[in-house]
Amino acid sequence: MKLPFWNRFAEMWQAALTRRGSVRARLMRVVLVTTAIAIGLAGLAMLTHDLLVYRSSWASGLSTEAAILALSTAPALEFDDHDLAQRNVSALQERREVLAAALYTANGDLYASYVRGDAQPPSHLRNGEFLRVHGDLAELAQPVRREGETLGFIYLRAAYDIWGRVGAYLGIFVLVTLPSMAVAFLLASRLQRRITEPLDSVAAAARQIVIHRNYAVRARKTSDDEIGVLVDAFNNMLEEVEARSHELREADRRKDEFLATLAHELRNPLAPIRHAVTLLETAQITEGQRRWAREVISRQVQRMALLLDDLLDVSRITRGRLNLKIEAVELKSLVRTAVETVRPLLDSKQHILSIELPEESITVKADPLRLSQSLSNLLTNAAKYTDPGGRISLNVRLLPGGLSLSVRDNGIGFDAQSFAEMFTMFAQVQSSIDRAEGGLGIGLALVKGLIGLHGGTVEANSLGLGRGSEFVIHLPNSVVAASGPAAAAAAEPKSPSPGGGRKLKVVVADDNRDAADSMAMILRLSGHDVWVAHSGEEALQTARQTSPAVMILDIGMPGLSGYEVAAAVRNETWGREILLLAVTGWGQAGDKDRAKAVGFTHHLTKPVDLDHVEQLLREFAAARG
Amino acid sequence: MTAAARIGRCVRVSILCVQVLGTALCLDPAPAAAEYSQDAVMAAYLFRFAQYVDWPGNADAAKPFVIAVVGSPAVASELRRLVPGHPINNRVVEVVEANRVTDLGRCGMLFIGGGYAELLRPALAELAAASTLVITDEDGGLDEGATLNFLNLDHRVRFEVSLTGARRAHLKISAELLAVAARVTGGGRS
Repeated sequence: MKLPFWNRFAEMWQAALTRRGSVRARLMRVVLVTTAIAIGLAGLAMLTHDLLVYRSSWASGLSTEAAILALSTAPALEFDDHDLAQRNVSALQERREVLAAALYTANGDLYASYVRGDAQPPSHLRNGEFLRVHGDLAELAQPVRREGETLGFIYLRAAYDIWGRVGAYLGIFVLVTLPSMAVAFLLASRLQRRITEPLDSVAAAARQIVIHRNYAVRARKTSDDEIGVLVDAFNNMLEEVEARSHELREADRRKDEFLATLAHELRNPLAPIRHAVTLLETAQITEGQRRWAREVISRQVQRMALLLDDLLDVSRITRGRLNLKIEAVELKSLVRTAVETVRPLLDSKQHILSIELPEESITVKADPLRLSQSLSNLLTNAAKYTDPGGRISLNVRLLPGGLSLSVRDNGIGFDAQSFAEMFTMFAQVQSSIDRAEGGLGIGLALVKGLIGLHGGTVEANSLGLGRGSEFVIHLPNSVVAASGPAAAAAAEPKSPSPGGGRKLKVVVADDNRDAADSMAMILRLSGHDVWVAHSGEEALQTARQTSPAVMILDIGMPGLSGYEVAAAVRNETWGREILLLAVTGWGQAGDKDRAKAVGFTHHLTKPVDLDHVEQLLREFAAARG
Repeated sequence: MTAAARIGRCVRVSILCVQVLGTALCLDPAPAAAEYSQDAVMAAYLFRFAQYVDWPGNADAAKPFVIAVVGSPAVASELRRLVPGHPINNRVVEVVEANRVTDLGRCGMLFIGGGYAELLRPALAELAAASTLVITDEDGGLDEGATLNFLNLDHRVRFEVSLTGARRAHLKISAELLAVAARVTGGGRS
């Protein structure tokens, strides 16, 4: 006895009855009900057919009986042999279903009869040929003829056992139905396993996803039929969902980073602006200080404005709202504009920029603002991601396929992984956060968008991290309006930086951080490389590391004082010829003398006149050559 | 009542009429013997015997089937009355009354009435090898050589059969007739 089978059967039957449950139970219900209906209909049809056939065969059997009786009884009637007639009629007692048999004369008078039970044959027979069936009784009459002469009539009454027949049929029906249903159940349960098992696998995967949010699960594919297709589609969908959620997380992460960077970038210019404002509020401000403060504010505001413009442009490109103002413009002037925009940054990092332009003059049909913006963005990037004193080259070439503007540097470069997302919004080389330059990470996205609007492409190449990078703008021929022999002077290869003669390494030391920082910032804005220290020891250490051309030292610092630092510097080989400026708040004559004594070139009194400082630096640089 | 039903009823009524008429016109059945004379019953039986007896050879259908009656003018007249409409073996029946036992070769059936038993032997001699069904109405007729003999049992006309006589005349008698016979001699039965 297989108990599990019956348990399963009971379970399915239960599910089938309650109209609930799994697909398995429903399938089973369908199969069993279908089988039962099919067998029932077939049984009913066969029963009907059989009853009809049975009735007619039974009737024909009865009339055959009567015909035989008629034949054997004809002589008895002819020769009036009553005994023989009686014997012939009584012979029918062998047939149990015959209740009465009778023989009538040609006149219809009863001649001989046989009766089982209490059924009496009619005493007179009027109509000699009929077959009547009422209920389970049948009556039959037939003439006895010989040589065309009617000698008399035979009458039979028999029980037509239809209910016995139906009962037998029902028994057969039950005997057939039970094994059929069992076989149907077995076959169906085997067949449905093929359907429900893959479905179960899909359902299990779906459950896993709903409960654990685990999109890494996959349904197992077991067949190539419709269910297999379903499983494939399900798995593909999961892959899609997984990829998208990953993308979303990535975009979200970039957005967070962007926000942090943006805040940082917007915050940065505020410090010098605040210093400048503080300066302007001071009562005893000189005209030079006032100008300086205005310039600081103006520069920082411009920087913020550029930042915000970039941001707005990117969002315009993204929304398809940016319209180019196309006009014919000389390529050279466009390049010059771009270079000039980046010049302060290049100079501050002491990069060497070499520019190579074609001999002939080229006119392009482009939006001059956007194109130079793109170029200056690439140059800015190159400057940012290259350590100070790097080499940056800008090559403009007229190729058969169009115009190419290439910006190459020997900076930190990038690896293949960064390449994929370099041009997307907010993407930044990770380490750039640590770099002083910062940035929003929208530069390349902006370039790509702007060049795309011109019908061009941007290409990025790098040999790998630390091995420099190259960005190339390709513009199609349609952008090139005209090119001809250079009417103007040949491209002036700008020698390293125009401010090269004035650019100096400066160390600023002051225990008042704000004073030191704002001084350093202002000097940086003038194109100098500035290091800041907040104590005498720090100042000396920084100076030993950087070998500066200029040191601006506060006298009253904790630890080593300005005098001690100056004395130490003058003892170093690199320190003999440098410009040493002392800054004091006291301004007594004795201090000045002491400063001179320890080696200071000049002595300045707070508040420091920055124009004066610039003046001294210019003179020093000029004197040094 | 529809036309079809009316026609159906007419047909049924007609069938009934024909049956009733047919019954009335056909031979009066033996069970109603009480209403008929013994001669009439015997005459009717003679015709019926012919249906259960096979005569050898191919008889010429054009020639009449001759029934010779000796010594019973009543039976002869009854027979004559039945001749129309009752052929034997598809031959018209001719009834001949004979007082002398000569020229009997062409009869198919010979009936010798009661009290004329002494004519039986010469008749059989005369018939010799001819296939004539000889019927008597005399106790011991079969012993004298007849094939069929009428009896009177319980006031009913019965008959007995001699298979010996039948064999001599080369006649085949149906088992059905034997079943109805009151006695069968000369065969397996006694």
